[in-house]
Amino acid sequence: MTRFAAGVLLATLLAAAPAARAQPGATSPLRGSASVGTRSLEVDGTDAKFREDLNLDAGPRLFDLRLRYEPEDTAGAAVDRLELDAQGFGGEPFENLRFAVRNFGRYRVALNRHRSKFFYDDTILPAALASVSGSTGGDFHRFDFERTRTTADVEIDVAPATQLSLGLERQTRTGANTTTLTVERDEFDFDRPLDESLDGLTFGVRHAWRRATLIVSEELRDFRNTSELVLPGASPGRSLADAAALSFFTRDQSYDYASRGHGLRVLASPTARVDLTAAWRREDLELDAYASEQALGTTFGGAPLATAAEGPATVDRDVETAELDVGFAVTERVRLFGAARRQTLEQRGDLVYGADSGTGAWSLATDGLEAGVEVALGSALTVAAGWSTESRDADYDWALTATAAQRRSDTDRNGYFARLELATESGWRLTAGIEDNDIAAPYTLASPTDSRRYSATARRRWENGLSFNASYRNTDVANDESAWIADTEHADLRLSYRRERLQASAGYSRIDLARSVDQRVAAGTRVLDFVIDYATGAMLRDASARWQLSPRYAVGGELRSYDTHGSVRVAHDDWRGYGEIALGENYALALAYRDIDYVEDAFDAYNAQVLEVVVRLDW
Amino acid sequence: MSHDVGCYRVCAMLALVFWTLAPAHAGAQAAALTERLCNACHLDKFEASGRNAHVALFSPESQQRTGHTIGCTNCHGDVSRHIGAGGGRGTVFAFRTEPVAERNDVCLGCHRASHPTFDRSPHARAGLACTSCHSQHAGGSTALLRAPEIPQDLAALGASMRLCFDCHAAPFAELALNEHHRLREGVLECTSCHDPHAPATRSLLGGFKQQQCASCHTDKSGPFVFEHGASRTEGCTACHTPHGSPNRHLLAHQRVAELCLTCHAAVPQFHAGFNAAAPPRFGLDTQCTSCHSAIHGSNFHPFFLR
Repeated sequence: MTRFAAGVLLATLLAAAPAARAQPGATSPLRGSASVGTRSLEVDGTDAKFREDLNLDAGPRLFDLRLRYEPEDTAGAAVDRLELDAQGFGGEPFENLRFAVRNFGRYRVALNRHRSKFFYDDTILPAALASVSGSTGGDFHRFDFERTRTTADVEIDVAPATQLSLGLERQTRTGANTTTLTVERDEFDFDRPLDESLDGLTFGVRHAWRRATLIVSEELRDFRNTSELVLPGASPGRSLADAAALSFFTRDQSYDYASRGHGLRVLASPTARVDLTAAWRREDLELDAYASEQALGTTFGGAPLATAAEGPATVDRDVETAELDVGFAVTERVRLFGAARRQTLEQRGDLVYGADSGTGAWSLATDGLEAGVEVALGSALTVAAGWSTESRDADYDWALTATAAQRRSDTDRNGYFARLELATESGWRLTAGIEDNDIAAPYTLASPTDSRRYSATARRRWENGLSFNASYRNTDVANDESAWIADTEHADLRLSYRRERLQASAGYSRIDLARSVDQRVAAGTRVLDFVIDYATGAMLRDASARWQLSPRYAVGGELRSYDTHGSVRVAHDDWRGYGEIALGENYALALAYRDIDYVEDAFDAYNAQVLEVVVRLDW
Repeated sequence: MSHDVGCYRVCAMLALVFWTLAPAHAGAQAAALTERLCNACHLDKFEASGRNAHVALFSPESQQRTGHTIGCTNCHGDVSRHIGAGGGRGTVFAFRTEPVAERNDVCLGCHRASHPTFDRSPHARAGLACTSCHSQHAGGSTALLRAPEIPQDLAALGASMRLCFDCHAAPFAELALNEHHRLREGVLECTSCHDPHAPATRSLLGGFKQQQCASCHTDKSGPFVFEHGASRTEGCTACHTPHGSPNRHLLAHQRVAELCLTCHAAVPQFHAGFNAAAPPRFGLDTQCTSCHSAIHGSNFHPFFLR
């Protein structure tokens, strides 16, 4: 509460500052806004679940900063526009920074940085029902890590028809992580710190002639993953009923890889009626890993346990894609299109690990053809329909010392699609679509042999600010070899109203999933029947409104609520109300209260109350 | 009303006189003149445009460096008939009324190199125009995105996302579920994974569908010496629902064994136990990944035990 009080004091001081300090104006080259304030937080219930969902913290922070610089006279100016956006600095779980500067027709530079914190500490079964021997205790992973992504992109128009581009990227994932593994038929908790980094570089050239454009691109990526698993001290395991125990355990499977990508794309319009695109891309990747593992302790049967192994692994992967797309305008209202694609993947991995050695090899080749027609039937009705076919040959061979297996799968798909859009004179915009596919010999028992999807949408916007959106989507997927089905039905309805002083929106969505199969599992001489019948019905409701009572006062609120009934019932209600008061010409003070209720039957429940005081400065 | 029309006609006549008398020389000067003429009636468009890219390219200096001659006529065509008639639709290329394909051709006339495959995108095939999402007169956004009709609670999100949700209500709803990709939090945008201008990829058998996910989830995508076949052939969506899920780790099933046993109808006997009279050692509540810990793939074990 001390931090909150300090934040309130800060907000009050800012609010009391002379409003005339900044001189805003529609023509000012520098515009922007800053929202700073403080948050008070009270959480009752499962704190871990709250951190997994929202991870909010109390105290003062920068909620939002936006800056725009656009010089009055751009003639001769080095910068036509400069943009700076920042959100979440000062302790938010999601921190965003964006900087962009450009001179139209000369260059564009953009820097982005996102930092996000993730927390996860959960179980699937209540502890009372957990059984070590059946591994039913749950998902004992615990994450507390941070992910960052920083990118820098530069585009330079070296000539009116030629553009160079350069992109740099760095991603990291670092933090604490624990996991539970079964060793000697007992479960042990391990530390598995996260330390990953990805560095990327892209370079491209684009040149346009009168009837053709050539795009060449190069991409380099380096990924490093320090993957270590350590037992934090001696442990008897989760089950004390058996003899299994570990006094020392460490496993290191760190690896890194480098990939190089080369791309070429040609766009051409040899005549006014024909346009075509030809593209080719190849990626080569080489991975190096080295693993070591050492364990000391007692086996399940009570004998001494002492194991040690180490060795290297390598993987080489080549991916190649070639595409050709052609369009032909038969008339102004009828256009034919066609496409052909080929994708191949060749991959081979080798390992030596202690006394074992092995290989794993993938070979995938996918060919696809597509053809269709687009017809504009008047200015109101557009129809597109087509047919597509694919065939994929997949080979997977692996061997580890004396064990080997192979899998061949030749899969074919044939399908059609159709879509129409109608824009009526009265303002309705209606769409309907269907896509149907028959697939022969899919790779898994939960891959479809039949897939059909319908969709329809309706939209209307009235001049008085009212708008209506509705959509419906039905996807029926089935595998007639395993009798597996996975059906999804999704309906959405939204009404919005937008006028100068009042904006309101209310939405309702319903998602119904049904995934089922009566699975007969062969486990050697035993055959077990499992009735897998997973159904989820999720209802989502949201509403929001903002009312500008007067030039000085505004109030508003938001509500989001959902209820799902799957294997576990989850109910989530989240509402927020706020009031804003303008303090002088440039300042506004906002007070917001938010209440979140979360209930997951038999597991977690929490209630969080959030109070925020924010001062916004515009200039 | 007649008074207003009369004013327009006077303005239009004066404009036509200037237009006619203006020397037909450098395109830059002609464009600047056009701007002033159009400004007489369509001031709202200029004010709304602010200093966006189109307006910035109006200046003669900009045209010199880009080689383009930008002005109202670049998009709206020959305006002399429009001016002569005192305004009115039907006398000029108006984006509200012209067919979608013709509207797109105007935009792609300049922007085809940066959006080379838009013609074959799902959006184009659905009959959408460039101006369905972009406004050539929009002022506040680099991408000239239209102002969307949005629920107020998304006001803090990026303009591109709000625009997507205008039509794509289904993912918007899924993102409200507890387990979701962090779009509402501003970490990601729809365009982090989807390219709205890209061609329709109807490949259901590509085997490369995880590439988009791998751009962030690099540790899950391999390659590995031993790979999970479902992941390699069917992609991440064989097990995960990317927009949102009530289940942990965005899984398609709440219980892990339910998901695994959907495909794995044959397992070694020790999973069940060798005593036929004893209850099996595993069931639908079993956490398969307690042993098969490297479930996305492993460099050291074909059954993903390490």
